[in-house]
Amino acid sequence: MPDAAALARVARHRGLLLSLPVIAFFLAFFLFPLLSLFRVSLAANPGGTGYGEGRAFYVPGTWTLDNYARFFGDPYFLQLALFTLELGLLTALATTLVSYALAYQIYRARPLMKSALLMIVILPKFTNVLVLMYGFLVVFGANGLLNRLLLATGLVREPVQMVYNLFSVILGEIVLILPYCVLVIAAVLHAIDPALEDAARGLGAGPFRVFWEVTLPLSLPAVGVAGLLGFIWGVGAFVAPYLLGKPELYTLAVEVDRQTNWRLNWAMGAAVAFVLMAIIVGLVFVFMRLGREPAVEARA
Amino acid sequence: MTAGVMARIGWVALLAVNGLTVCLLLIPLVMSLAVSLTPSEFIALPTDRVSLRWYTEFFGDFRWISALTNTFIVAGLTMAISFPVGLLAAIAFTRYHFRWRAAASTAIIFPLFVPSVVLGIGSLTFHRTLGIWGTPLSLAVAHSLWAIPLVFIVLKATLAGVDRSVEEAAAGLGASPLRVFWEVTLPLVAAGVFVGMLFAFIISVNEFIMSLFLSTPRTRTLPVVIWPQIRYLLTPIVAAASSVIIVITLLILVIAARLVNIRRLVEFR
Repeated sequence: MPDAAALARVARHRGLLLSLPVIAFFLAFFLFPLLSLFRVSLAANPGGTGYGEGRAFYVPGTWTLDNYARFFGDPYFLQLALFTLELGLLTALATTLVSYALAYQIYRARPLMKSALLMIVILPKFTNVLVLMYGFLVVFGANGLLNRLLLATGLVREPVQMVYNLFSVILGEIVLILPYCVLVIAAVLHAIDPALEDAARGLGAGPFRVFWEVTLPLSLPAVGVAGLLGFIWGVGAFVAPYLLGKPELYTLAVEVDRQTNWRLNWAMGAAVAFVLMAIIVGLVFVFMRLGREPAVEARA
Repeated sequence: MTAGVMARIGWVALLAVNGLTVCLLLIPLVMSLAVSLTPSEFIALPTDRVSLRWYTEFFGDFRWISALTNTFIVAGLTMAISFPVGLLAAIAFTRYHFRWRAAASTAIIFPLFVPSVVLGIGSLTFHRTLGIWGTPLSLAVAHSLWAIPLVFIVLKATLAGVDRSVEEAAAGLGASPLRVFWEVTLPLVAAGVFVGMLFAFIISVNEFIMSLFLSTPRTRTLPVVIWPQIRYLLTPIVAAASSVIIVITLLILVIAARLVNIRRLVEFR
């Protein structure tokens, strides 16, 4: 009979062995692409169309900081970065508020309604982002169904411009990001011990006070996580600014596409993508520091 | 008394806000489906009769058919890559303790928090160096960056729900770990495993941004072909193409919902 220590040793190796494919995959197709991205952002740009012989997309083997110098020396790019940040924060704020309201409703709903609401929340995540944006344009566009209705009823004389503004971009992003935030908040709400709310009620607190003094404080960590998720995805916004916005509402992510796929300047595209990544990592770091400090105080 | 009134007002306001949110989530889908059935040349609801003319056009056009074929090839490959990788990792994380466990778990879900644009251009430069740029494999590998974490999360939750004493009983009766998994664990988690596979498929069918960067004229998927059409011309053919994606996704989701209880997503107890 093999001893327990030997068995444990085999088991430990078995766990690592089973995770080997996933580790290998992420080294090969996640880490290396990010390294490759950084490398290409330090290459000279081709200057040509990209399809000429030899000089395609970037000049291999060159090292230069030109792309970053151009980014930080050009008001156009700096303005773009600032707007992207602004949009990310606005999106995070709006999404978190809307998500909390919906998550709370899901938490309170009866089983059948709960399943239905969850299905509605998850559905957009399993649908193509383009389908969602198309549906938006079909309804709210200048030639859209809502404008047709307004014109037909004589309420307005000419089509109302409801898309291609900041509001429509944020609305579009909310639809894209909300599912994750709702799930995070709903999961934490469901994990709250029902006895705590019962106790508050038993002590004479009204429903509003139970929510304000018991449920809300207990779910605040989830609000923080949802806000962070909203911010991460809001800063990376690409589809909504492109389809529901206008050039003044374009983001860094849109610029990555324009540099890479339109100008065929992969080097500049990579540099912009790297700056975008750095902004996100930097702010997540700041948020986490901010989130940790009150917790430390509370413990002390 | 006043507190009760306040709570009542609060509840009504909550219902109103959530009603609007639900509309915002559902209307685009419903409208795409409805518009695809219009007999008109333009975007309009089918008021007097429905027509399949835009579907006829969709299935009669070489470009759309080839996009649909590409979409299925890439989704199949994504499933083939992400399912075994995700399953093995889920087994490792629910059944064994090992070194670098925490680090590996973070690494697995990390790609979900990197903008797809960054993943897209990173994969583009790397896949070109690697020589797989322009093949369906290149797209499938990128889609797996998202599919593996989700397969992993679903399968981990499913495997964690299995009563360990049943497995221990089988092992005690002399079954090897492989046999325990094959004859005891797998039948117990078959539904969850199947759902994990379906998720990988759906994610790939709907993924757009990475595909935009990685696809070449030979490997364009359905979303990539829809993209310029939405930006420049809004004909009902886009609604038909969108509806094809919606119907594929809905069919798969309905199957999945029959197999597992959706409420488990938020209720752990």
